[in-house]
Amino acid sequence: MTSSGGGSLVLANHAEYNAQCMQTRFDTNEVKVWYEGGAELGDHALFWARGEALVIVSEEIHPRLLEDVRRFFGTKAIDTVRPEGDAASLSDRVGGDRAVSEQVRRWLRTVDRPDLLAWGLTPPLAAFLRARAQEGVEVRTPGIPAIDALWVVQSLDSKPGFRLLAEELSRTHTEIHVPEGFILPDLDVALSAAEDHFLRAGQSVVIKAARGTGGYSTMIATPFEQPAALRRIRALARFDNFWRVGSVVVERFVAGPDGATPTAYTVDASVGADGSVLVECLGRMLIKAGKRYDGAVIGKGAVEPELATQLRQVTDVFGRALAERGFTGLFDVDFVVDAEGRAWVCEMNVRRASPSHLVAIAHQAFGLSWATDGAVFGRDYLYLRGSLQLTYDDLRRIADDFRHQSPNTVDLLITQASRSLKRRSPYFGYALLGADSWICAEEAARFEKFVYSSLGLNIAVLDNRARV
Amino acid sequence: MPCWTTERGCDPSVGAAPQTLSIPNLSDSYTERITQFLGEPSRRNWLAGCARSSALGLFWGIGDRVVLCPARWIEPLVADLELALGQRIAVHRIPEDLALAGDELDQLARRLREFDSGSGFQVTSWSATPRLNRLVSALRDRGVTILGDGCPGSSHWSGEYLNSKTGLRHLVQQARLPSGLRLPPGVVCTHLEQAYEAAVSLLRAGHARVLLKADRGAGGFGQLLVHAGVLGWNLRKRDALARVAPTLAPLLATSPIVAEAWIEHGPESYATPSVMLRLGDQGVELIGTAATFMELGTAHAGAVVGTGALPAPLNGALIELGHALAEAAQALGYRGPFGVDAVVNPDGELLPLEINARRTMVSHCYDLLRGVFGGTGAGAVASCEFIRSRDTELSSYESVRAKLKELWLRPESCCGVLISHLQPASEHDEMIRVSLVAFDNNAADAAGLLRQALQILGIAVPLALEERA
Amino acid sequence: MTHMQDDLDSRVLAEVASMRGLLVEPERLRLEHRLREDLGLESITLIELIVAIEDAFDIRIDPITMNLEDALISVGSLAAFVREQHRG
Repeated sequence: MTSSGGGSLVLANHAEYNAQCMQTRFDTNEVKVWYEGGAELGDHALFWARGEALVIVSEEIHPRLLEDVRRFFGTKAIDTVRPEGDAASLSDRVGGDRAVSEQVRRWLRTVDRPDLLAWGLTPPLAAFLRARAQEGVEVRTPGIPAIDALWVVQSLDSKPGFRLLAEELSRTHTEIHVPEGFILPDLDVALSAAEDHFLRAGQSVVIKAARGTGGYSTMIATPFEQPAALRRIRALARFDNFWRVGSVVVERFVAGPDGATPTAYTVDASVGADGSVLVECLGRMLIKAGKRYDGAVIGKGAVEPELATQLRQVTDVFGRALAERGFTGLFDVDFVVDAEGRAWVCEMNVRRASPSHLVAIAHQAFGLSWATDGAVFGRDYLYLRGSLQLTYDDLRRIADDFRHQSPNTVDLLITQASRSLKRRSPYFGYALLGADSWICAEEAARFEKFVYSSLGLNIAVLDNRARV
Repeated sequence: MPCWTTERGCDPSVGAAPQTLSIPNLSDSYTERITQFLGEPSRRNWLAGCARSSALGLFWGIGDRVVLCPARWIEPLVADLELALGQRIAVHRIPEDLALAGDELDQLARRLREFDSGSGFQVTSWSATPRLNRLVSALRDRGVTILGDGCPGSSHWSGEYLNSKTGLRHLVQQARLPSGLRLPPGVVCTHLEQAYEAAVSLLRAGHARVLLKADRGAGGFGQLLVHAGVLGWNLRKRDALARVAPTLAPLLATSPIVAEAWIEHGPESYATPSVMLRLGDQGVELIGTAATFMELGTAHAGAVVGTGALPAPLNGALIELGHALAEAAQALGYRGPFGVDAVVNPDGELLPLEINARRTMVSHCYDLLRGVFGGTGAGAVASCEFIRSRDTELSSYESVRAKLKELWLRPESCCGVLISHLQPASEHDEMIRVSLVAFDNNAADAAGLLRQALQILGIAVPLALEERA
Repeated sequence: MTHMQDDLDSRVLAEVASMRGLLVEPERLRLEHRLREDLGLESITLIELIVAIEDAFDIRIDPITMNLEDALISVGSLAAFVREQHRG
């Protein structure tokens, strides 16, 4: 969902959204790590409005990246502002920074019926919206649920909450397939269930903490690794408080055609109060290490038509269920497909979807019929293992060099780099546009090798990349 | 002399049944699940409650028994029980965490071997925990012949899962429930604030009250009842809920929490029925059904089991429900006692509320019913638990026993009352707590006998017992 | 008892008396009455009472640093708790 004209106020509140499940038992260091991860995604927010916007971010955006985004959307009217303060909540920081507050107020007054776009609904965002309402500023919030639905967001954002909904729906909708699984009170009981019920029967198992995102706080165990697998999980969980807070979901691992990692898909949609569901995008997800979200491929050829029908049907059912619970706005449903081509639901997010910026890019490049006229391959985390510090300009040069020698690449954008290149283990995100998803995937593989060889990095490491 | 039976029916000619090794391991069962989350005063109260309830282990099983228990026993109570039931009962104290070793373990094993009449022992416990299974293993290693109780250690997870509040909601979705049966409307939430919002949603949908239940809660612990008045709550009060509620109901700081519409009980005395089954490798066995009654809405106060305890249609529906859920539980690998608590709403609809993958506060009634009436299906037992009294004349077992002399159980007629537990007043609690069981030909008469006993003791009769007049 | 103690006790009694669902008539309320056992206050009502006490006495009750369980035994223990907070 984008603005409908007049410009958008964009709040890149990823970290705030992620941290709202870290209320108890988490110390500041753990919250900090999550904050950093969320803050790095701020670059994506530049794309959401697909044009004129004032983007509020936690960390500074690289000026060249911002220029590139402006050029891509053909407008200089994309600006960023960064409120001061340490709070993990970006929405709170806006209120706490007088200068930024005033700038935001001024901006809102100049735009006719401004939209506010955000990653997801949080209590601080709800307070931010209430404060604007008290100032007499009418802000539309396409894609963001009503404040009353905050509890729905927090409930369904958890793995047990989603699983209960999915199972309930699967009883009356045979097209919804949920992997066999259980919600257990804690990790010890969950590991016991994993061993007793799945691993002993020769089935691989996925173990998911109630909260966690991006594939973190999720572990996979196979019967072949036993008993080491569960010992490893127990050891890792000691350092991760997500395993100590709340219940744990244990599910049969759905294997793909080669018996290993299945292909994962996502359907990003929005639902209205009347239960009508609008699908924004169907995509194939890039998954690393069997569980971590790494990016997506959207557009022509990304999802086979028959599968696409299946996925849309299921998404429709979930959307209607959300509306019945008082939720409206953006959501996505993630699937994995087994060797028989059957799609199994594995997760739902009741917020803006991770490929949201890719959809905006596709719209801009290929127009309204982007889903049939072109494709976008988006990798969010291309790690530069063994690299020295790389500047944005260096990266930009490499990307331009590649473009010049790649006639099949329609366009190549850096989508994430402002903070991520400064890390000790730097990475960046990119979007590669092409005529269809197969071409995009091939070109992306070539691009990544090109980056590595340009930087003198060991290409063999790339073999461990997420499957395309 | 009462005819004792095995749980599979009275047939002593087929060979002696194993004797009972009763291990009322309540605090052990709840250590991982509950007590680690409680602050000190709450933890003390909880463990005191466990100690009180573990006294019921004296009555578990059929026939001669050895009881391993952390509680101190009232010797006259044990003696009276032996006389009344015609059974040998040996009591042996063990620590709450069942951690016996070395000489203590050897001594216990020796005692058990001496008690054994040749058929070994059948363990009956509150729940088969890993600690319990380790104790049983250790005793077996020392030459004691023992049949286990419920799931071995590796399948312990299924009991934990079934005992959680979300476990029921989950299992109901997987079980083929008899048509028309449903759960009370509810939502599984991850935090108390969300549970509050879910409660508001349910209240706005027309439910008069909503119960917030911590997933790990038991025995009324970890619950908060919310009424329609909270719809008018401002942010201050909502903030206070998050801040203070975990002090009042400590488990509400854990996750998840179920927000569930409170189902008003119908007026009848059988409005909170329960069914108990046993899951074994051979299948599902019905133990019995009960009409239970509560104190303050959520804490168990007593039960009536046997002939006439429940109207026939309700009894049938309850058994059908229990079997459906039990089969789903069995498919998970769970073995052992399996109870389902339910409620009958004012419209006469039966709704399941809770699963207990363990024994319950009613278990001793089923055992006593079979023990006294011979498993013939005749007779009834009525019980009330931990009734409190400030009457200073009721200061000891002997004084209560003396007051109930006329009603005391006469084995030859299978009619009368027994004291099932007594806790004298102490510095921590100025009131005496008494538990009674009454036996008679049918539920109405047994309840009537219990009422009489309470009246003699000057203790207020619970409303549910009054209504069985 | 000093006049000030009398006054604080009366104010606490008044706040308790304003709670709904009391099992004892407000005019017969005494300091010895236990909030749950004698007055029948449910946990949810106790939360409302805490907010009322906070507003009436301009204090903030933090269960992490204060012993709330002991404070909520009786009207008298609640008054003693409030007195303690004022002194602090």
